[in-house]
Amino acid sequence: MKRRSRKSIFKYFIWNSIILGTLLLSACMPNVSNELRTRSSNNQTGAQNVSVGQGYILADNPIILGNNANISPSYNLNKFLSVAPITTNSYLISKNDCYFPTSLTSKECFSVVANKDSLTPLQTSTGKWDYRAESPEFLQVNTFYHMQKILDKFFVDIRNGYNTYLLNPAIFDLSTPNAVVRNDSKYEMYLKEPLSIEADCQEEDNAYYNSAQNKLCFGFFADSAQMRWAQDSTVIYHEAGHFFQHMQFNFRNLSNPFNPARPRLGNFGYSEASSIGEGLSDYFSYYVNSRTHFAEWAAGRILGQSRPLKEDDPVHISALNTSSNGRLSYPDFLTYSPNFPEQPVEDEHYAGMIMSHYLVALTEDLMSKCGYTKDTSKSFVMFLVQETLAELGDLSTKGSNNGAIGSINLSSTYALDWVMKNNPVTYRSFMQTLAKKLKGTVGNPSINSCRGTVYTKDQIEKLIDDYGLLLFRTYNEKRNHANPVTNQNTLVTTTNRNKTTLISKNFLKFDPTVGAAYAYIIDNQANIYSLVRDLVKEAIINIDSQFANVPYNNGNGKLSPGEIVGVVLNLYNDSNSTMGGVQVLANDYYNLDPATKKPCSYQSTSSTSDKFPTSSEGGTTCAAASASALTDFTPGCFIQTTESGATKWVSQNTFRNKLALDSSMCIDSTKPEECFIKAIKGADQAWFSKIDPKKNWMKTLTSSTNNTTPEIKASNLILYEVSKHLPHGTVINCRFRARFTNCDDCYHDSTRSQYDFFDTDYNGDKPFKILNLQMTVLD
Amino acid sequence: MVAFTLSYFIHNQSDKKITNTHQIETITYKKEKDRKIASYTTSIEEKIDVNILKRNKNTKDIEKKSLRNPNYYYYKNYRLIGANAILWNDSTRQLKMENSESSEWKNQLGENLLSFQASDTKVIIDEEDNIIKVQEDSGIYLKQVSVHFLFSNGETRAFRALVNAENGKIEESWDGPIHEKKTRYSFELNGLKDANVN
Repeated sequence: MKRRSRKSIFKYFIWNSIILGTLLLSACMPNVSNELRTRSSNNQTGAQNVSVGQGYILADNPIILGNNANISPSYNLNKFLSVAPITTNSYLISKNDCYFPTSLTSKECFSVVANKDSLTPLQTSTGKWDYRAESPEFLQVNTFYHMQKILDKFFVDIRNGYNTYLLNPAIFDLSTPNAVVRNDSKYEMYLKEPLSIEADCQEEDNAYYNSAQNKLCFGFFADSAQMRWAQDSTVIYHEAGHFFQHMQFNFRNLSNPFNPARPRLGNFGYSEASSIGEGLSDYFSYYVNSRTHFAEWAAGRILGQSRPLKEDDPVHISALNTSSNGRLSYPDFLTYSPNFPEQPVEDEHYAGMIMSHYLVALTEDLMSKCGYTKDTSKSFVMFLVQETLAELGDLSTKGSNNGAIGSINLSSTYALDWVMKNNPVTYRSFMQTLAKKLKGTVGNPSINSCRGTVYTKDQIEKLIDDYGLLLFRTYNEKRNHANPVTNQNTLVTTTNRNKTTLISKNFLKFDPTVGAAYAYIIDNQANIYSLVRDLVKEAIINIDSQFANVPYNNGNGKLSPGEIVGVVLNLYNDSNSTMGGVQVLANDYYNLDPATKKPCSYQSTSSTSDKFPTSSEGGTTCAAASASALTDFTPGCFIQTTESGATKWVSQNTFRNKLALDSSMCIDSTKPEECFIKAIKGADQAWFSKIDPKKNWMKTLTSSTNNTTPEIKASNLILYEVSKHLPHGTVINCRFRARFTNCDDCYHDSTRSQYDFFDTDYNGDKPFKILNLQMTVLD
Repeated sequence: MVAFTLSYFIHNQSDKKITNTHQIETITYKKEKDRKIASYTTSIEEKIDVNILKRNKNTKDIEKKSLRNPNYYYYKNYRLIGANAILWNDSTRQLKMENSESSEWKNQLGENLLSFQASDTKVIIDEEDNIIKVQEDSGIYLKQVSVHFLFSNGETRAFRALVNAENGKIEESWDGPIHEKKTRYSFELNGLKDANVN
């Protein structure tokens, strides 16, 4: 599709100005109204009925406005335009309502431009914003209107929620920082700069939020010259939702002196955090328009991927309904697409529907049981989401305004790794924290905000269980300071866990089927090149230029010296229940004894599954009972060697010494412990949405009707750099740490009354199933 | 078209002490057809393209100033990060450093970032802060940067990172994009049949 150049945009602007000026001569100028007025369907042009500060918008997406799911992508959208207040500024820049941490005076919250080539925001010479629907100017005005709408609602709700619960911090310890809320009518943006929005950006089939640029981008469609993402208000709310989530997730990080990073909810590709983020963004659409379906036009019309938010939506399969047994429950519906229900699909947008459906159900349950209006209930649920995200994303490790350092995410030094990998946001951690917030507010007898009483603990737990999400045994109020005797957590009532299934980690294993491969190797040069290219530009990994063009990749399906290889584990669920949120970690952890430099494990404890290597094979028991939070990070790959006629497993540095290889020849000369093989940071974790009982992941995602096998995604594999100095025939053992979200003993410490493991434990092997994979290096 | 002059506003922060004023060049690296990497001072137009500079009626590029944030900890004009940062705040003791600073870090970073990208791809590296990450009783010199890719088809991508100030290697990255688009791959899978497991 041909994109507009700056010159053509300028011409377009001049042409529109001429038309606009002509039309102005006959325009009538009614008073500015805050209400939308739908224009007659045959009125396609003109500035009639548009006053200064007003403009044309699409009040909802064209499918809703036309009440026609099959409306043509090239339909004349002028027939659906409404008049709405835009701005009395001469530029399409929001009011100076926002404060930023570095500003002493308020500034604009956001501005809208067409695309990155636009030199300034759109300017009006007439004071009106009445552009035809097919113009790029219209997209900017439409985006502006809906962005202002959600922004106002979001910040007014923050103020209301805060004022309700801050009044007595002893009753409820907020995670939202005090500074977020202002006492005047302004907004505390909690970003460094105003948001910049490109309403017609140069992205094919895409819309995105990029926090590094403070930018929202709404692109175009390859298969339709007329359609744009910004024509669909639900998409504007959804993408704005990603922006707001990022802000909520980082509410406690902007002024954190110890760590400048700001985590995002999820990664490139599939993960549970990504799925939750997508579900939350769908809820942001409902939050504004109260409709329980998202993106009928932008995601639905061509791509066939619009999404419902409630089980009674007609697009759903008939088995789903709003009864306890009919909910869209975890983990069975993680790979369910209502648009193609016969084809399982691993996609964060669909997996996020469990979150959006739960939040809508909670909204309606609070209306029903507590007598809230829909608006009040939506605002309150958004407050709970905000509180949950602010706590989980806290790199300062306090978690709340009264929290102690070290409450969450280990320590400031390593907090980003803990949030993104070692103890990331999952359906379990999100629901556990949200349940705590529910219990502390509407469930709090000191507040009695539910018809003069409380939304009970049973009510909290039962609705969560309807969605299969009662994955936690305590509310974990004390987090890392919990002690079953002196610092107790509230226990979940076991009898409320009916639909939720918890499984032992030992049921997760390599596929035991005779003839099945334990893992798959991707070392084709073109495959790896395109994968690395994408992962670098998406800020997932970084590769030294010495690997450019991946010259040693030979596509032989083995580990070969000098290659970058992808490893996909062939994991199997040997239990009788579905596993959800399977995560494999290949990052550094405490598995090398600091004194002897031997591979170690907690062999003396019953909770470890790692008995390899034994002492006769070169292993030892880890000296400490649990990992240190500060120093114990070592790679998980060891190398086989022969000592006194016996086969032993040794660290990479020990092997390097045996070869008398100078450390300057290592993959990273400063890190001899990963001299020969190194899991690439960022691509050192893999996610699998779910694994059905007695199946591997591939069979779980294979369509029963057409036998289509699933695509492997970047998020399914772990990337390794292999040294070109690694001798042919060398055998490598890599220890992967695996777990899944509905795993019982991956999160609950049986030695401490089933309380959650401490953050330090996630630097060891106790909460994980250890999977040892031995691979031979062959050229 | 009116020729716009562009200006980058450093906010008026009279309450913050300016400790260091110097020109920090934002550099554009471009992958040429012959796969060589060219570099030059980033143009104002490129800075607007990637939102380093705000669109404004009277925008012009001015020098950046390093400011002391009263909420942060410092050691010899470097911002300190890490759980032990507070121990070294304005300390007169000598912090042992595990690396040194090199002027080559930015070039190395630019080369690494472009090594897998197509020709005509540009990457803009904008320096944001000078940092020392405190680890136990030693430190590492880092640069906080924002990295912006400009692709020939008009797409952009960006993220922030902490970069080793000696060799340009990225230690941490964040602030990457969240997309609606699904990226698809057709990987050639090879079953690892001769592997052993424990």
